[in-house]
Amino acid sequence: MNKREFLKDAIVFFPAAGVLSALSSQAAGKDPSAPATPGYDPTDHWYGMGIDVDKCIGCNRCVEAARSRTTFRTSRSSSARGWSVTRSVPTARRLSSASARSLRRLTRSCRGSKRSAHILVPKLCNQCAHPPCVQVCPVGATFQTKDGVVLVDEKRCIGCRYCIQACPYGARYLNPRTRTADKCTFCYHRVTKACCRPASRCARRRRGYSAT
Amino acid sequence: MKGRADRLVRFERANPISVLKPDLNTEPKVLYAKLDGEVR
Repeated sequence: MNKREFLKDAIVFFPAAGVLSALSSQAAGKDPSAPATPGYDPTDHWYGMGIDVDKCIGCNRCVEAARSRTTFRTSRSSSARGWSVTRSVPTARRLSSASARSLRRLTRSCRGSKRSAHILVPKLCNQCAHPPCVQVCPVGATFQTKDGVVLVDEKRCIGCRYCIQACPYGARYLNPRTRTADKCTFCYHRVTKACCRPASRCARRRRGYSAT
Repeated sequence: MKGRADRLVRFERANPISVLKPDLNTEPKVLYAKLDGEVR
């Protein structure tokens, strides 16, 4: 083998070896949906969250709690985005009792003859059972666990923002630090450790469901 | 949503529950109680 043939083979061999090793390490890697806590069976649970809109006063303590108990969210604007929004409802229409109570609590605004009441609606990832963000992810970074929580593997995410566009609730954002998609995780790292205290403690309720 | 005696199931029974954008058939698991019908 002369020098020219050696270099020619080396050019083909080394990239191919690198690709093969990367594929094998990815295949041998852990399933991202697998829980970190031993003894936790995700098939026994199906998580959801209940929000009593009538009790929410918009204090944003849930946002602060979620920010303080996660280590990956460093941006104030990104973590606070979409958690609590106000919707303007014309008071010409008859409001429900909840809306009427919110109307008494919150700011009233008058615009000519029309008045509008601002109603707080805490918004977060709805953890859809049929999540469109999972369907559009080209690299499988967004996945759904067996207990129904939609998570993002930031090691796989390439930041293409397809999931941000696909989310009908506007619950996703691009983490400015990691440049990957991010979202509410239902504090999955806490509930899988049987720590049922949610990050938010006021009007929100969240529990894992026991299997029957 | 497997247990009938669960706290969230009781919450669902005790309050009028609605979800955001139900027409999309994504089956969201965040349940809003006493949400005004105007908000979607």
